[in-house]
Amino acid sequence: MKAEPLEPAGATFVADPSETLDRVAPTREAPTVDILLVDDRPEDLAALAHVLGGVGCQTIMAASGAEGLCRALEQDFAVIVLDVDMPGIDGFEVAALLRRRPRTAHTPIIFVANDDATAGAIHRAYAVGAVDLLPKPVEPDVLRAKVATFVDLFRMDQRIRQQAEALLATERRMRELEVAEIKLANERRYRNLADAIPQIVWTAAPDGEVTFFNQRWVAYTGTSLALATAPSSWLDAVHPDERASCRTRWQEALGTGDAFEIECRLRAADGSHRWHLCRATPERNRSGEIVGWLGTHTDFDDLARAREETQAARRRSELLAEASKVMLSTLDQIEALERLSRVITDTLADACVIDAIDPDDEEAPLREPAVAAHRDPAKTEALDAWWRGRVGVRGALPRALRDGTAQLLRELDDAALARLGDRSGGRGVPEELGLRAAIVVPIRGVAGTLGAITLFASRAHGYDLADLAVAEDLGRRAGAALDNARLYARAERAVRARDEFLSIASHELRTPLSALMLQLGGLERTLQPSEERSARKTAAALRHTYRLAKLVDSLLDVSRLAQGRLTLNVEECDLGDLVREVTDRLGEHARHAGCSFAVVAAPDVRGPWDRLRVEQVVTNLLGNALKYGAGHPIEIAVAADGGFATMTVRDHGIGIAADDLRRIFGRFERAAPTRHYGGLGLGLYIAREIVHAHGGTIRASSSPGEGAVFTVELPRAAAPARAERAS
Amino acid sequence: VSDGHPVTILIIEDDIDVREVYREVLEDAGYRAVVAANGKTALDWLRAAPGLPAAIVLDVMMPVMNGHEFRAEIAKDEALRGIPVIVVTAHREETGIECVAQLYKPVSLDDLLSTVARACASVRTGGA
Repeated sequence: MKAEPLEPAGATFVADPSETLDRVAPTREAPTVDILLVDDRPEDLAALAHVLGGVGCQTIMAASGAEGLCRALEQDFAVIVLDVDMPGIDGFEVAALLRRRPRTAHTPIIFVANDDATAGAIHRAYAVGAVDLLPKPVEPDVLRAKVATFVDLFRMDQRIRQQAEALLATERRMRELEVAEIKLANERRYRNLADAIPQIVWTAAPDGEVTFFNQRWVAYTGTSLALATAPSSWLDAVHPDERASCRTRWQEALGTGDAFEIECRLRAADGSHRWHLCRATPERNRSGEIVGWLGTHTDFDDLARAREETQAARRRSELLAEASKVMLSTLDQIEALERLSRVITDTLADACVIDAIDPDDEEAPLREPAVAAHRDPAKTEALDAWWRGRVGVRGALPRALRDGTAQLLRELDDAALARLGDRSGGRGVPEELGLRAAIVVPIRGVAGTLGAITLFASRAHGYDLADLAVAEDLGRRAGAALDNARLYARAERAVRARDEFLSIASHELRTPLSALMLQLGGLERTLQPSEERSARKTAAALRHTYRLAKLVDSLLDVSRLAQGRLTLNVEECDLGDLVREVTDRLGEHARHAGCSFAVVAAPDVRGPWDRLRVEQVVTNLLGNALKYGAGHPIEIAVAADGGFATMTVRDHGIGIAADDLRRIFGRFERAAPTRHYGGLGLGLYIAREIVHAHGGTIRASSSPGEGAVFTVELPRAAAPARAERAS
Repeated sequence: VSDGHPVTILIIEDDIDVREVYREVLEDAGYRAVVAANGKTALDWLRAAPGLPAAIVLDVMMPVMNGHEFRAEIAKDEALRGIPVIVVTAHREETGIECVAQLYKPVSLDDLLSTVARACASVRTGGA
């Protein structure tokens, strides 16, 4: 059945719907209120519709319980009027089903039942949630009043709901506004913060494109903000040396999403570059996706320079220490310079030449170059030839040699080459050798300039003042090393000259000594027994001549020993016999000194020795004992001790202080004061050298005032290893 | 020294003082001394002399012809090579010159005379 359109009615309802709509729900249409009527009997249904036509609602009719359920699921109803007795699903069953569904759980249900409805039926009706049960035939006013009440309630409920929704919407809008404001404030704070810190700060999109640079960037690079935000423009400010590696690493970071960090120089507004630590970290959302990058550039240039300075200083001091070490490890001047040149070409220079003056070399004092070295050994020869072939010695080098002035030639142009003394013109050879900058420093020794070191770099402007200072230091050290080597060479020459002189002098002295000795010998024989006085004098003269001959022998022995020219004529000897021969020969000498010899010799102490040389040892030791132990007995013992023959000479003289014991075997050494005791101080030195040449040992023990004991040990079998030393 | 005839000793020494002392002491001892200032003069005399000396006292370092060269020359000469040679040197090392004895300067009179006497005796006993 089709319901008639209902007029709006009722004081509780708002008269003008449009006004209401504007106020509470501007986007929604005025709600219509529907009532569901369910009855299987058409006439009853029509009567209900008719009765309810005046409540201002639309009536929807259903002719069965099933249809009523369907309608109730399709839309909301203010109230449902439900017949109890219906075929199929009766009213109670419909009500029970409606209560189970959320949409209809609270929809008021008014039952209409036949007049004979039992009290049980009424109870059941309320049990399933009915608000009322009206008997048929329905009293129109009662039904209309009851339905109108529920319609009003429905309308009020709807209004409250709409108002709540409107309120919610307003709240939502306000919250959105607040959030937007907070966001904006955050952004402002963020930028202010970014501008306040001393670092350069930037942000980039996930693809690396820069979206923001702070003021520091603008101030540092001098670019405008508009230009600054051109894609990846921070890379454009990176020093060309680091740009490629920076770009690669940045691309890698963008690919992997790992934090990015690199040290690079950034170009400042004035064109200079400063070292920065560049860092970028990805910003991720809650699901872990990268939504952007936050980057910083921190200026650590001062630190980097300090670090570089420290490293450079360490390298310099290591270089200088190494140079000193290698130069002082030899006493040969040229060798020292060669070692220095290797150190230099390993570190400070690509090539180097060293010119040296040897003031002691009268024939060729200047060696130019003394040493040439190139980092590429294949070029060393060409470097040497070029240096030698220079026309004369002019310019920087002689200046360095003459007044000890160091030169820094930042670029080897024609003028610089001319200053180096190269008048050949043309830069062909230096170019081929890769020489583009140079330093010339003098080698200064104690007595003046000893040469010059010229260092070459393969890069123009490859040298600065710091390098010059290092090179000058090298020059000073080279000077010290050359001084050292030269002094050593001088000392060696002097020693050699002395030994040669001693050798020649003693030879020259021997010939007239020979004549003198023979002459005196002849004279002694021709004297008559009556000429006793003359005979005594002649004998004294002969004794003095023998002594002179011995002194000359000592001098010759010393020079021979110093030159390592002592040769042994080895034969089988008996040490006891040998000692007795010497004591016999020195018997008269001992009597003069007020001494006596007491010899205790074991039999058969034999060995392969040079008889004359061992006699010389015994003579020297006994001579020593007579000299320093005059007036006291001298005891000599000879014994065999394992592989050695041992001889001890004990005197009871002035003795030797502990400090002196160490040096008495040295050349020209003596423990006793010279003015009391004569002699050259060679006896013990010669004795020691002879004993050593035999592979034996000699030692002294003493305390001052208690005399001295000298012990000689000679091997009883040949010891060629030690004897070779003397040949 | 021997059966009435004086024994001849050839002295080769460049130093005139030493040379004359040798001559004197040897003549005092009964020898006949012939002196030469170097090896060359001595060699010339030897080749021209009617009789050979009983021994030669030879210095090592001399001008014109030194001791080494002289010894090498007489070694080549059948007639001269048998004469005993006494080498006198200022050096302490072996000279390497073939000789019956080597004396070191300064030489004592006893050493000189006993060495010369032994050299002469060796010729007489060995050569006879």
